[in-house]
Amino acid sequence: MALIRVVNVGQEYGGKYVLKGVDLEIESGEVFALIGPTGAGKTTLIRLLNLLETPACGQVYFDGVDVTRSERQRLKARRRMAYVQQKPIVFKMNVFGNVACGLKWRKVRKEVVRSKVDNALEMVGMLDYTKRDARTLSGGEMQRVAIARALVTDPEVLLLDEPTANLDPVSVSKVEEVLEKIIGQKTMTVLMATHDMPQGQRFADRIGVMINGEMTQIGSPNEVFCSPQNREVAELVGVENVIAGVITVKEDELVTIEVNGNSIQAISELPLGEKVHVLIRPEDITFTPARNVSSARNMFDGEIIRMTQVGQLVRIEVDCGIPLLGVLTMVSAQELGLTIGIRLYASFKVTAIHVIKRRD
Amino acid sequence: MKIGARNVLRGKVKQLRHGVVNMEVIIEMPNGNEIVSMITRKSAEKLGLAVGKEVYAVIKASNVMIALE
Repeated sequence: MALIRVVNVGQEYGGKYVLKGVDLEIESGEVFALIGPTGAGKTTLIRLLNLLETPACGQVYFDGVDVTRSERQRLKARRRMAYVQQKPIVFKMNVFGNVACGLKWRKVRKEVVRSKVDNALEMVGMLDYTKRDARTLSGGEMQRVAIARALVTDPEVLLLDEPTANLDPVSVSKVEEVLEKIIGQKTMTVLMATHDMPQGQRFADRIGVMINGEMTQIGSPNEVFCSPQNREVAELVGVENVIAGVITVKEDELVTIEVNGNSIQAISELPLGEKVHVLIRPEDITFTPARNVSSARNMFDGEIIRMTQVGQLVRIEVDCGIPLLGVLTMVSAQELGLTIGIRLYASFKVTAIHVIKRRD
Repeated sequence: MKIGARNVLRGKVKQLRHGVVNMEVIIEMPNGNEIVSMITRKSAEKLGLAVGKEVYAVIKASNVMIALE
C-alpha cells in the first residue's frame, strides 16, 4: 500500500485551476522528485500533501486513511510530516531555539530536546552555530537550519520545496550534501520539488514531471530523461533538438522520418505515416570535418551558424537543412578548428534518437 | 581519424550478437578489456563487420560515466 496516494486532485485559486487531475502514489521510503517550470503547480501539490490546503476536488490518502477533509485525520497525518519551504523562515532567536521550537511545542523534555537538536544540527553541518542569531545567517545557512528544524521531529515524510532555489553554488553544494546524507540514511520518505533537473535525476528514485498544473509523466530518472513522453517534457529535461517529421518508411522497427526533404533513421514502434517529433540530445551528436565511415546511420553536412562556450564545452548550431544543436569539448572544437561559417558533418546513432507522436 | 570525440579506441571485433533490428558488437581492446556497442544490423552489414575485423570504438567525453567501487 502506498504511504501517500493522491486521486484526481485539483486545486483552484480565484476560479483558475492551478492543479488538474493529479494522480500520484508514493511508497514508504521512496525519494520522489517533482520537476517542472516555475508556476507548474509543484508548490501547490506539496502544500496539499502537507495538508496545509484542502483540494478543490479529488482525494488525498495518507497511510491508507482519507485525509482530504477530516480535520482530526489531517492533524494526525500532518504530525508525521515535515515541510521545508522554498524561502526558509527563521524566528527571532538563536539557531538552537529555531531548531528546538517544534519539540518545545510538543512539550518534549529538555534533555531530549538538547540531544535531538544537536543531532539535527550535526546532520546539517551547523553544530557550531547554536548560539548565533538565526537572522544573521546566509540564505544557505538558513535553509540548513530549516532542514534541521524539520528533521528534529523525526518525520516519516520530508517535503522539500525547491530547497536550493536562489542559493549561490557553494550553498547549493552544501545543502545537496545534507540531502544526500538524509536520503542515504533511508529512514524517511522524501518528496522534493525542484526545477534543477540534475538534482532530481541525482536524488530521486522516481520523478514526476509537472507542466501547467498537470502531472505529465511519472517514471524513473532514466525513463524521464531518456524517453520523455511529449515535446514539453523533452524540452524541460534538456532534449534541445526537437524536430518535426513524418514516418515514411518502416522496416521492422527501423523507420525513416522525412524532415524538410531530409531523412532521419530511427527506431520506433509508431506506424507508417505517423506525424512525429524526433528528439536528440546535443551530447549525442558527433562532428567530423569530412564524411567518415561509421556505424552512425544519420550523417548530415551543414554550416556552423553559432558557437557558444559553456564552461569546458562548446555548443554548436549547424544548419543542415535540419537545424541541429550539438555539444563537444573545447579541446575537440580546437582540434577540429571549428569556427562559424565552416562546413562539417554531424552524425548521430539511431539508438540516440527518441521518437514521439506529434500532437499538432 | 579526425572527429569531435575525445576517445577513439582501436580494437578487434570479438563477438557479434544479432537482434531483430540491432546488433550487439563486442570489441576487444589490445589489453583484453572489452567495449560493447549497440548498432543497427544495417550498419553492421554496411561496415562489413565480422569477428576479427579491426575497428575503432568512438566515445564522446560527455558520454563517459565515472564510477568508484
